[in-house]
Amino acid sequence: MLFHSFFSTLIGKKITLHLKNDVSIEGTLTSIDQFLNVKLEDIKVHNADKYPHLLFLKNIFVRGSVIRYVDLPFEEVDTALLQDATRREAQLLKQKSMGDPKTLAV
Amino acid sequence: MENTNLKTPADFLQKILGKPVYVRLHSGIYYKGTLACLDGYMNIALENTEELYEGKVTNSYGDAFIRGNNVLYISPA
Amino acid sequence: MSGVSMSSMITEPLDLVKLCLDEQAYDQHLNMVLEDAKETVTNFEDDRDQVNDGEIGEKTVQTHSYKLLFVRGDSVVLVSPPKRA
Repeated sequence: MLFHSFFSTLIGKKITLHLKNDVSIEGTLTSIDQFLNVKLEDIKVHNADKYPHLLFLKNIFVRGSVIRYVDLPFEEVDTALLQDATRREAQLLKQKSMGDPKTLAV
Repeated sequence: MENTNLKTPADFLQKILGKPVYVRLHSGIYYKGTLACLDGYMNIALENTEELYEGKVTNSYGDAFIRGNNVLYISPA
Repeated sequence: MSGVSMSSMITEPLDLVKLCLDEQAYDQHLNMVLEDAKETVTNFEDDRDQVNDGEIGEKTVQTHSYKLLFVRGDSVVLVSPPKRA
């Protein structure tokens, strides 16, 4: 949920997705869901040699699981806030994992 | 045989905690190190780790976290 | 950190990630946001099928730098703290 909230704050900003098939898609983020599926508009596609049909698209929906990296606009991100949120999330997870049968008692 | 009182995989993992182990990944890479801890996803923390590929040491790490989905097996070194 | 036994502070593997990614953002899937990230891609031309001398081919290294990068956890294999100077 942490990164879903984080990406929500970047709606309307320009980002670049680097996909696992080595295609990169640059565009404006319009939507994000809990699986980190994303919608981009006004896209520009790099490395499309293998998938030339991508060059004709203006808007795109990308399944979160095919994304490897997202290049983020540094100036638009409050990294201190993100660190705080990370610490809270880690603490929450720790409390939960105490009663989690998946955690080995060690 | 000393292994006769080992009943479950979890018992086995308990027994090798803190001991030197080999961790083999699906990619064929091995990590040799001291098993610091692990969780139910088979995420692993190793200390004094050496990375081996095709029998050669390719890297070394003081501490290393290995994401569980990559793990093929863990074996006592 | 030196001199302190690691096992005294680490009770589960994600504690180690917390140490590694101090000052960065991450979650339990190992999704993370890295600042000043450097990517190194090493490629070996594999011509072991054509040439049966067992040698791997020419090595090419490419690097890319990113000011701020989100990495999806499912492609993470190993996380380790930066080497001490």
